[in-house]
Amino acid sequence: MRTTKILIDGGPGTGKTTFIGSVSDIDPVMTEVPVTAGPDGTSDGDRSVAGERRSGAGRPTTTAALDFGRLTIDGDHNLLLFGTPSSGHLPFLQEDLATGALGAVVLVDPRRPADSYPAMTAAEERGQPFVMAVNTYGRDRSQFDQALRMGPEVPVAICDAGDRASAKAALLTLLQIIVEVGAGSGLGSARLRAGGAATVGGIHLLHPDRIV
Amino acid sequence: MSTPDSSYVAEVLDRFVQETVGVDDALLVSADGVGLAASDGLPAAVAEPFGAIAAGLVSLTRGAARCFAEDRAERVVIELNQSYLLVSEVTAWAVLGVVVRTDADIGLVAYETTLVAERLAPELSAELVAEMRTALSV
Repeated sequence: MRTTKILIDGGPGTGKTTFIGSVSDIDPVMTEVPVTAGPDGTSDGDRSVAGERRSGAGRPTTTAALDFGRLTIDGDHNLLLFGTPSSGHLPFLQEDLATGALGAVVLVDPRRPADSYPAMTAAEERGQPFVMAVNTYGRDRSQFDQALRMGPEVPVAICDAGDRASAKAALLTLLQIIVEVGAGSGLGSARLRAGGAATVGGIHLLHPDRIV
Repeated sequence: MSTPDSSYVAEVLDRFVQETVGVDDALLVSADGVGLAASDGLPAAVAEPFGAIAAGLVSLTRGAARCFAEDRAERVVIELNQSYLLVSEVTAWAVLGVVVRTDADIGLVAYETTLVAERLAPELSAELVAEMRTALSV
């Protein structure tokens, strides 16, 4: 059994917690709290968009510390999914959660893609392969195919974070990228199996100098 | 798959649980939240999320220490209704989580936890942690 850590990142309300809840084989760890006010002290109404999670009282929620889930693929490969908190108040926590992750799924709300740029920049700076996962929030995906025009070097997956198969497909896209990057840079024994299922093994990214 | 060193770590955890009154389980995870070793009988369904939480707590605790111009925290103590959870850094690469019954002498258990962490620390080189991290899934 192989274990690979994957980071689930992205701007506020882009579906990180939903994504982990959809694909996790176990009851995910969630640290949701109700959104009270925006950073400027005003109500966070502009983020109360479709797809944002709401607690029982109908208020949007946000992740205070981390989300955690696990997905077993291909029978012998455990993906440990670590979701970041939405607020930028705890940058050290974001970095610590990212440590050791072989790659990142960066979720994007196509109506406000810039909110997820910091997560992409951070992944790039860490040298972490990532896939930009454009969340359709359950809508027809054809609406989103042209939603974002990134450079050809940024891999894009259109996905519904609330749909297990769709979220899983985004993860498999990331695994393929990790394998390709790994093959290119000689990272361990990464290989891609016939049939498209990715296996990434023998790789560790636990750099002591990344640990504060 | 295990190496002599990683089975030594598991043995230390088992002995700690058996010999310390009130301790139910002990878990070692990498600093980034991936399971390394657990005492006998701790189900994966508990070990995995507890490990991820423990690593997150250590990160938050370091942040809290920095707020007050301190460089580290001794431990995190969580008091649940029926158990205490103790979480502490063993080295820069490993985190120890301990589940303790509420009828235990928590001060004594905390002391014993420090001793076991000190015993484990020299064994847990960055290389061994990396090796255990890729070899095991708790």
